[in-house]
Amino acid sequence: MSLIPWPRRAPPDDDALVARVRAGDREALAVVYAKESPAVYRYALAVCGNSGWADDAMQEAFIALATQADGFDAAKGSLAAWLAGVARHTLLAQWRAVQRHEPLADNADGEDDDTGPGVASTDAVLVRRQDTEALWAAIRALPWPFREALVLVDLQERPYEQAAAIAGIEINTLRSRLHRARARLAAQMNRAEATVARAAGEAA
Amino acid sequence: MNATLPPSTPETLRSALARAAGDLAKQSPLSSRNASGMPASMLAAIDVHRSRFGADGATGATGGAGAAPSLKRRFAWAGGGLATFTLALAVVLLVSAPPDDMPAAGGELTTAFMPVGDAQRWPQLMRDAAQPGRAWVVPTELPSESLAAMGLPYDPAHAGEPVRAELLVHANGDVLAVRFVR
Repeated sequence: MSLIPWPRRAPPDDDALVARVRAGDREALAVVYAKESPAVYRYALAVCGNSGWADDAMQEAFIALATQADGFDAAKGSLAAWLAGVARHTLLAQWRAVQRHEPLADNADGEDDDTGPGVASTDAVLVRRQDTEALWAAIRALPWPFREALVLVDLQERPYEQAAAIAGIEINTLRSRLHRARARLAAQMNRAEATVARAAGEAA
Repeated sequence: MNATLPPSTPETLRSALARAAGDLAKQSPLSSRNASGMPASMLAAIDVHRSRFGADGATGATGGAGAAPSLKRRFAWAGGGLATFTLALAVVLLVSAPPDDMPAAGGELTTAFMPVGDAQRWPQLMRDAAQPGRAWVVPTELPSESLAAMGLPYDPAHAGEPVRAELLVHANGDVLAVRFVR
């Protein structure tokens, strides 16, 4: 039997921790970092697919937390959402800087928006390698808004309210994007399965 | 796996999402960490910001949700004419300012410019700053505790109130010196 110190101290809330972080308390920063950094990093990694960018975005979020006096406001949302929001901001800025593509195009919620480069080859990828890498290729082939919704809700299991706050959208918009993301991913997987079956039939 | 998935979700999609979620949960940041478990590069960036702007980041709070922008970006609007003028003003003040309060243009009292940062690098940076376009004087506000940090009289009753100050900023982003205005 292990002894538990008494009185047991409740874990400090976000406000108290953030106040200590801003005062330069490294111990408090370490606590927040240990608690929140994995989710921030994984969100960034899942939406951008680049571990270097994800690492940078995650670090920028904590630098902002420690140095911006008017940054986080607990009344406006959770610390987890705020940190992920800063990481998202950093990723988007980096994305735009290199002009690889426009992740938040005006027709992002449209019915007919293009699914972007790489989709045409998704089936082939899934056929060739039915593994996790291929699955991620399919997820990353989704347009940014749909991919982000899928990552936040289905992969990270964040509450709708928090996911919507991170993405900067209404909950209904999040639901819509999530529905479309699932539908597109399912359709891609069905196409891939059909291709595999057809290939197997031809081989037989 | 995920309780948010509707019951009608195809099993193939359900299992794929579970697989992706499981794989994602195994990922961790690549950056090297120090004994505290945090990336050394991140801590260094925080230290640099604090050394330039003070503990509460008073002047670094206007950069939006992203990372604190560099000084060069923050004051990119400062044109060459302004730089030349302020450089001349700063150098004159540095040469002629007595250690105590002195009247500045406009009737304000200012302290002398006080070196900030590495004292060994300061003379070289100041010589470099004497070249046209190599330094700016940037008005700002600092937490009043920074007065005490610079060895100046500080009234704790006014803690939290910002004090007006001017930074002498090298073109490379280093803050060379600070003076307080009242």
